[in-house]
Amino acid sequence: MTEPPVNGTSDRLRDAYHAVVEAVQPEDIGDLRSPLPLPRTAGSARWIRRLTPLAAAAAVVLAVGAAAETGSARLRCR
Amino acid sequence: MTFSQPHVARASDPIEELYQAHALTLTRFALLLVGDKATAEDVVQDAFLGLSRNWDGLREQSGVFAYLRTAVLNGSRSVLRTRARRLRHVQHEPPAWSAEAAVLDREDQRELLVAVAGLPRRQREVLALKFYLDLGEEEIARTLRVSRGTVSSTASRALTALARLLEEEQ
Repeated sequence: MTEPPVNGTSDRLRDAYHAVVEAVQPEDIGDLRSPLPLPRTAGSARWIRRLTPLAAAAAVVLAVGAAAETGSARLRCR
Repeated sequence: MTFSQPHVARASDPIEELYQAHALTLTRFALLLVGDKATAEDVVQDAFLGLSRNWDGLREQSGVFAYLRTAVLNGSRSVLRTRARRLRHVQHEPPAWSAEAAVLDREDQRELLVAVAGLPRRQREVLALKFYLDLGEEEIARTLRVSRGTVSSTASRALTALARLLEEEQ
């Protein structure tokens, strides 16, 4: 079986593409839309997400410090 | 879903300038991928919204058009996926492409584009990048994140399939 010629097809395709895209004319292009500002809660949520690990780390430091303090207080009592 | 309002143009706004320079070409490119004008416009607007969100991260301004091209491609894929899901539930919906192709005066061009619409997605993308945007294989490969050999073989398979279809119709 012989392969059909593709050179003619690529030229025809290029022509067809350039013809069909004429459906979009410069005057069809609307203004650029800009994003609406995000609701305040979304910004707050982002800060909460960022602060949560810091708060957890601070809690661990406090707990370790308190435990160490309690341990040394017991030693002093003995 | 896009939350947006009309953009307030500023003379020094680089994104506005890029929009003025490239929106027409990108909308036409999107039209070839999604098959209808309104969706193509939405895809391009979304691509520019993405650009404005990632503007600070784009260090090389020369890569901005490549970014937009890829964003339009990804947006179009997303639209087509949603459409395909919807079509599983709807029995009879005319293909979007045939509506735009109907504006063509020449019957042979209409038939050719309807035949293109029947090709696999990757083949349609390669053809649009190659024969509408006139990109070289290297750039198409970068845009689609595939090898240059894949681009070459995909284009060749697509053209052979189209040539065969057209030959059968004659």
